[in-house]
Amino acid sequence: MLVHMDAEQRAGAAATGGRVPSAGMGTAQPAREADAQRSARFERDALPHLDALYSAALKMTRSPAEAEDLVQETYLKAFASFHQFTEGTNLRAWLYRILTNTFINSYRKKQREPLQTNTEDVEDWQMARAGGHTAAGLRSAEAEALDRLPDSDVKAALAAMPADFRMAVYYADVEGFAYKEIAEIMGTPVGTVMSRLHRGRKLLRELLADYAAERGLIPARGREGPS
Amino acid sequence: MSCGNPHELDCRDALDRLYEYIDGEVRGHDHQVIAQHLHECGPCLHEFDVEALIKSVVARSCWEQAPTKLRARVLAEIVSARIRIDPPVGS
Repeated sequence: MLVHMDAEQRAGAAATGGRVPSAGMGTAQPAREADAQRSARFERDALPHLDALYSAALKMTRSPAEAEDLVQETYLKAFASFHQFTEGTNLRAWLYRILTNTFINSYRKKQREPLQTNTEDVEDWQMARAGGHTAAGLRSAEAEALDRLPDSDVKAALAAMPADFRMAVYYADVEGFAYKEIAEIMGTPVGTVMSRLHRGRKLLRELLADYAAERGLIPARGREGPS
Repeated sequence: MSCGNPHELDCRDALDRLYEYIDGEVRGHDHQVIAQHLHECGPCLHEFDVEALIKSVVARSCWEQAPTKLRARVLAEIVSARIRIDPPVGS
């Protein structure tokens, strides 16, 4: 394959009737050059996602040390299979997919609860409390309070959520992935992504309200509806 | 569920699609219909405000910077892999 040749190489190829001048490596030379080009492209295109991948890894593992290992393992796997990645397609989603699979295969085993059953354990009454309209006055206080929450509280609320909900919300809100991309990353249908977002956000809203109440930003929890 | 006022779209239906709307997943006519509902319906607009706020709160709170040594580690591994593939002249 003679893609990504620079001007000098193209001139050389034209002079020799279409063959890239080789250093005696014969038919192995174009393949080696393609490999070198590809790894340069990997460094150029994949490495800039490192901060974002670390951020997501930290959300998954909730441990900085494990997050670093997970990111390193992800990049190694991505590099090893980069020849399978079709240039011009969604590299970011592809990297996150590898991150997710690496996490599931290497780190989930260490955790006591499998990702799936976490989402079943969330109680329905928590959903019901968070749904629908309530008195406008109470909600104004809620919006004010939520905006004042420190980052540490928001992070703690997310860490308390089941992993499937947490990661769906993270991919939508922090990374801005489309539902279709989140489905690709998490290996589920779009409907499952929407369900995780719906239930996850309702839960998150409750958790954030609890933090706001603890800080005295809104009235104490335990009463619903207008007083 | 309803705020008591007539709308083209029921409050329950608007709220059901609120997350999709905030996430930019609703297009064309559907987008217009929901936008119109929020324009007309105070309680639903309030829900929109809270949910959109939570989305932005999560976005601002949760981005992390990778440690410098991690970047160096990953880069070093890629570079050494490249050298294996394509050794410099004379090596």
